[in-house]
Amino acid sequence: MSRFTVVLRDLSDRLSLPQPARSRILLEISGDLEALFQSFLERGLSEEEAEQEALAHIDLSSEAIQDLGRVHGGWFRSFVDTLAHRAGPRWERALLVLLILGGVLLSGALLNAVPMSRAAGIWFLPVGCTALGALIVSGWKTYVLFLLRDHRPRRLRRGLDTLLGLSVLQVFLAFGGVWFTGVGSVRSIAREPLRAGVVTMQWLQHSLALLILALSLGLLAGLVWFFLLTRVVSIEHQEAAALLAD
Amino acid sequence: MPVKRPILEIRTLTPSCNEVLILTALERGAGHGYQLAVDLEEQSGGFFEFKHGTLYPILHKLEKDGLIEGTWSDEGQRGRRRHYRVTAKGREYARAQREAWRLFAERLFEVIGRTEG
Repeated sequence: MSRFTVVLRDLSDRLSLPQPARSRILLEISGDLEALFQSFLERGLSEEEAEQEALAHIDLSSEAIQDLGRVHGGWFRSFVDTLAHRAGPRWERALLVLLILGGVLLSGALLNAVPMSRAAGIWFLPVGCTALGALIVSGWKTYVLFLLRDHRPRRLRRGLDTLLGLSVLQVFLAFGGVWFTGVGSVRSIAREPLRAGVVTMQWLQHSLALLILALSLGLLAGLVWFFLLTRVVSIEHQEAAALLAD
Repeated sequence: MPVKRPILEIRTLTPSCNEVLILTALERGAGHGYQLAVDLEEQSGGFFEFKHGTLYPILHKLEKDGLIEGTWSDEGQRGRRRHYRVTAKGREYARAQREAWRLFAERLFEVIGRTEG
């Protein structure tokens, strides 16, 4: 048990932030408190005096705690961190893994269905490249977290934002494709009004195929992102729990 | 990403002052909260007294803005510490901030001097 456990627990209660941000702040303050304590000991103070001096120097006022809340309290991050923290039970993670496996099978089946990827047209190329990027980032992050077990705080979240970004980008690219081919179809219809039915049907087929593929791959990347986030949040939570343990 | 433009307004004077002081101390080599507070106090002859609790939100905001970068290090008995260093973007921002403060001080003393003279 750290000599500052009581103070850190009190601080933890006063910080209205989701666990990962809270852990990081507690770890940093704990390190600085310990360093201050050691430096006062080296200056010849007794343990009790050094402890009091260290606490007086840190002086975490209500304003400082509010400011920390403002700095770390972005709504999106707070929301997803809280959500990931709550998805802690084993059965929920198992369900998440099953969903991911289901997503992989579905996406694989869709990609194998030649008419589907062919129907999606040229716009499937950027969507596919983005999906490949998401696959590489997912594989690397899974390897680092589960096999390499590199849980250094500064590396824990590296790559997660990229994965989420790639997941969202796939969907945006698909909508871009639908829009551009839609404009092309309207021009074709203006030139050859008699082919309106055929052109519209072709555009619909292309758009549906592209959207189905992009949404499936994007959703899969999103699920993998959330699964990895739950692992990261769990590691951060364990760090904080170890710090505050009796 | 473009460098954040330093704007000195009355309402932002204190945060700007804190930012430029901390960035400058970090450029000179201070590494973590405790050391930063001590360095700033010593260099200012005790004029700038930072409580560590005040430093954390400023450091975390600077890190969030990409102006400084924090890393963890294990220091044995002293435990795990978070060390900070200024990024290239932070150096550029600090330089611009110092220039803005120089200009601010010049203008301020021009006005004060004229009033007193």
